[in-house]
Amino acid sequence: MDWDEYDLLAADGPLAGRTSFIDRARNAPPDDDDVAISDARNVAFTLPTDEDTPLQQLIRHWANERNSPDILPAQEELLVLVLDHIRRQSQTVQLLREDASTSEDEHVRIMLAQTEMERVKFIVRSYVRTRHYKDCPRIRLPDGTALEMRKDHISLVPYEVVEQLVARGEAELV
Amino acid sequence: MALPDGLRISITPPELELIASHQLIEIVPLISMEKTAFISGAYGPLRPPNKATVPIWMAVNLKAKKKCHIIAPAWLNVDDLENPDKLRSLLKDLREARQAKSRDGLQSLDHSELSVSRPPD
Repeated sequence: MDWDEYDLLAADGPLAGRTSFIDRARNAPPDDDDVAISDARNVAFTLPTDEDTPLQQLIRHWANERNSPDILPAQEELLVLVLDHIRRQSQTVQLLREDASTSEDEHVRIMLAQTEMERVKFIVRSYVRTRHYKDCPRIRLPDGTALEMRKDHISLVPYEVVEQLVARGEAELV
Repeated sequence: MALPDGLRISITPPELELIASHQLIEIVPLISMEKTAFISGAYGPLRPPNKATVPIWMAVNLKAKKKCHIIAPAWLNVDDLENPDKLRSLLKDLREARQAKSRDGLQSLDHSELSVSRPPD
């Protein structure tokens, strides 16, 4: 199949008949990026970028990191801010749980706060893992185990392990 | 800590879903909740039957626990989903079932108990 000549939007193409989104895309008015948003409902749902919370900024950096092949500059301060926030929420939840007078509705807040914390922790973990992998990709041995050797660190391994790596050209004897 | 092989190439659909879940959506809450400070911002208060605007992840969470109704946003179109014809027919069935229930309800009203007062002159 020659993808260069393959027109997804052709009237007799593979998407003919399922036209709703395609029609809207084809007939969409030109972008109004330079025009002030007059639809108040849209404004209510979009936040301006200069007021981004640390979490929103971290999400953007995380998405960039996940999508780029090279490692991007570290965002240590952002991570500290977000981790601090997680810790404070965790303490608040702890207090509320221990308080016997917490009502049924309070439990909903606790549940939602915990759910959100898990989501944020996932993002933090994924951000750190992605950067770590780019820095220091894992070495896979023939028996399937994976070794993690940090750059500029010294690791003590039996010769047999190294033998395989040397044979594969992934390591040199010094 | 290490990144599993499958996740190394680029961002995954579940991760994209995580990002998308931060978008705001309207709900009709079935429980009350005071305004609460979450990491991603302050949401609430929830005062049924008034509508509220919360992130999608929160709406889905509450919906799963039957604590809210989600209001379909304007951009959600039946034709953008899988099996639009099946969906349309199901929506039609829903509408007809509800109309039938309303009609039955009206018929079971006890007419002798109903009265209409004259409006003031």
